[in-house]
Amino acid sequence: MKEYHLLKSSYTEWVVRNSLYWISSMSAWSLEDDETRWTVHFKVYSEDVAQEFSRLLNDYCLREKLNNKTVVHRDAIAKNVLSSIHNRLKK
Amino acid sequence: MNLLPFNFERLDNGDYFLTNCAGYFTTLSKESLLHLVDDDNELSSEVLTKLKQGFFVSKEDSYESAVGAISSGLAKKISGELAFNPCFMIVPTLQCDHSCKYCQVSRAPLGQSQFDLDQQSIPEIVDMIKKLGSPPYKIEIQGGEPLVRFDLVEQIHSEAINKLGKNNFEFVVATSLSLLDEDVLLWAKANDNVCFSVSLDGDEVVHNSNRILHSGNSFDLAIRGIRIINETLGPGRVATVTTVTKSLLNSPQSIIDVHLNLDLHDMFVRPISPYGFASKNVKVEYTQSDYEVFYRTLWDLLKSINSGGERLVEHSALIHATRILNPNYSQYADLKSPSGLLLNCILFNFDGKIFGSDEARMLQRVLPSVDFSIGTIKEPKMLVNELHTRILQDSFNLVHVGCETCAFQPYCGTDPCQNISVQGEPVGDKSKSAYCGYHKNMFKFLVQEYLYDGVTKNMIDGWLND
Amino acid sequence: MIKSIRKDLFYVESIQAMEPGYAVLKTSLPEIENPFLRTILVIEKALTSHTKTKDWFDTIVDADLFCSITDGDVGFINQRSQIRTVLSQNANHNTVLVTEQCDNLCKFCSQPPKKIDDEWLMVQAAMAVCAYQTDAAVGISGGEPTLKRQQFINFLKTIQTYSPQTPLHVLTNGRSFSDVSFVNSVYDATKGMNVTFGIPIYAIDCDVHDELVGANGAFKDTLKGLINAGNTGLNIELRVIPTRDNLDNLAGVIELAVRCLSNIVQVSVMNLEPTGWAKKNWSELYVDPREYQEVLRNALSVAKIASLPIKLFNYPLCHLDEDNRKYAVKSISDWKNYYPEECESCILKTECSGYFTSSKGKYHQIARRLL
Repeated sequence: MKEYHLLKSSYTEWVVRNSLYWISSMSAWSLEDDETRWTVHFKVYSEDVAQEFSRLLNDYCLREKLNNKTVVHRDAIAKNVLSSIHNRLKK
Repeated sequence: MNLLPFNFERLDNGDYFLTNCAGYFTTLSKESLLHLVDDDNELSSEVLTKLKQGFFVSKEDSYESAVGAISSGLAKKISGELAFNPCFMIVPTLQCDHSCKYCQVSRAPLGQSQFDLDQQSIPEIVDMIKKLGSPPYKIEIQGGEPLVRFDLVEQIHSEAINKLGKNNFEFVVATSLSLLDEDVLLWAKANDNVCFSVSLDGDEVVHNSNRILHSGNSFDLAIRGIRIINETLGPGRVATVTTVTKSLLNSPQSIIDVHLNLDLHDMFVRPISPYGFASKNVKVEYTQSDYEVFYRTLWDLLKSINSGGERLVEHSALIHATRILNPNYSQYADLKSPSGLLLNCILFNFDGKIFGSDEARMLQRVLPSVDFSIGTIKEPKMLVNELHTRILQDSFNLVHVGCETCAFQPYCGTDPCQNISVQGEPVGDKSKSAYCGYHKNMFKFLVQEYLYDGVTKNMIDGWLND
Repeated sequence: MIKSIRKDLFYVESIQAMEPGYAVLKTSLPEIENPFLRTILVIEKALTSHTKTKDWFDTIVDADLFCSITDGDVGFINQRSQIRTVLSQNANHNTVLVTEQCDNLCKFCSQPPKKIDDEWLMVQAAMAVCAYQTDAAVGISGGEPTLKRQQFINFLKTIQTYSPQTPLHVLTNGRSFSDVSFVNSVYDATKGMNVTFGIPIYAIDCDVHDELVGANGAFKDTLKGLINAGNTGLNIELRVIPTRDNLDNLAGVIELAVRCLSNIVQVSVMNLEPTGWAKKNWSELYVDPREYQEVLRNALSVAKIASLPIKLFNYPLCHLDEDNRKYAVKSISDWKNYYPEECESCILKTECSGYFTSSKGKYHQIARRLL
């Protein structure tokens, strides 16, 4: 069992939970938090798990940044798509 | 510069593979990706041009056009995958002379005719095929072992000739060929729209260790059958399926040798599926990394054979590559979103029930309390079974947790029946899903090979252009 | 003077007195009036006392013209005493000009626009198609045929009523299709007919496209138009001309067709024709096909893998790499087509499209015959 601490100021819940989602295949985990930080308990811990978790956190931070910049466009696309499909089905 | 939505995946060489929901793809160095997300004007004009062409970014004044193009691409994709264009499967009998260790179907022993199709229902089945499909109809005969009731297979075929037209349908018989005899050969010779699909799992030892025939010579009979078909009917009348079991993992060369010795130039290699009989009788055979290692070795062998001038196509790889490069391809029921349930398959079972896929009929036996059918041949209820609406609604990977941030999402699919079988609900936890693991590995592997290795690119382009 | 394969323009002095416009050309004595156009009888030798005439048709004596037409062809008389055989059974392609007005100003425009009210031209053109009564395809070109929307709808409806069996191939910049209600009207006006719209898009970069077609906002309209038209079910032939300015966008255009557009019946990659404004912009625009065979190869491959039909137009086979040649079509209209001397001994001559008659002097790329 290994405890892993992450500062809330560096990692949002979205990033932490998405990263943990993919760690499931390598180790069971549980998540706790207090005011300032997340605490992850890994059942099985190794270099590999540490490395993979670290990579996942980095990737999801990047994704979060990207999502924040593109959320408006994703909404626009979704609206367009639905109306386009609606038109196709009408024909 | 406007940043547009996209997903990315880290590749083994440190580059990143980017895709957007319209299915465009490109690669970027890590450095470029960081510049891109930070929008810091540090990107080279060459990289910027590449990104604009794929709608990963757009100029301020063409933002509306870019959104329009991406939306159109996504709508086109979804419309294509929603198309109703089924393959028609018919199960004339569950009787089987084999008892394969990984069998996904509850097969019945020989001599149990209560597991046979009522021949009176054959005209009704073909009527329904005519109503639901359009030429060229794709008909597939599954089992059990269909040749146990070859008379029914023949009858289905001649009914199809009468009602659908001789040149309007393809007819594939899935069989181990253990019961292939003169009668079957003569019939196939007289009907050139008949093809055979046979399991070939490795050399004699590997094949026989999993495909159990009482007489112990499943491999010999399969080989004999393939040879006779090639000689009597000509090339292209028999195709193989290789289910990878633990004993094959160490010898990818052997499965290639078996094919080449039979003058077969097409292979279809896939891992064991964790369903039905498979998950009960067979302990976790091997891990995803085991399969990866096996497949890489197999791939290297394929490369050297193909670049040596001999054509040998591995079709599961070809299907994955096609999904990336051809946005109009959604014919492979197991790799599309929404899933191929019902949309890609109508299965007429021996007991008169109709199902939307092979997996659904297996699930029916495993979970008898839920109705997975769409009625019976006498009383079909295509629209009434809510289960199918629910499952289809829940099978858009675009919005699944795990898939929504995956770079391979536009090319991948969902298998709600497998998720129900293994995880108890149609969406499933992707991090634990064998389906996700397998397809993600295949996509990642092929992307790296295709985009960074000229030999692979030539090989796959050659296969695609055939 | 380079001689084309088929002559289509004839000077006939006696035409001077006739009104400009279309006419049905007969080589045998006309018996009934054509409901759509005036009738002109064309005879080979001079009028004799035996020559029958009536007051409802004119007669022209011209051996050259007589030998070039088939009974029932349609001609167009201009104000310079010339008659052009516009719709002819002897032609490999037939195209009708419906307007000379346009909202783009393409750098390679082959029919530079004129600001004149030529509504009558489109009306007469509809008459011409109806008079000709063919089931072979007729090209509809301009200017921009859809510029005056209601006129264009009327044009389509006329043919829909009186000659719906005539397949039409309409060349348009597609900008008017950015209006969905117009697209729907066009769809209704072409029901029961076989109509394809040839729409060019030159780049994914809006500035590159707009620069080439000489109009700001053209890309935005054309892209939207392509999407609307495809979604509504109009048949589209997507056209692109590789030039020095848009060569790096060629792959993007093909991939756009593959991934984002619907109902593309064919992609046509067209070699630049040295006519009209293309001549004055030649050195800026023209790029020797030999320089972009790899770009072409990749574009062709992207289309082929996605099962999108793609063809190369106006490329002499000797200007293409061997593996790209199978996509080339014999596409040049016979009235502007020729084969230079070098082609006589070329083994691929019969399959090759040859050259435009305008391809001469500094615009001409030497034929490299294949033996």
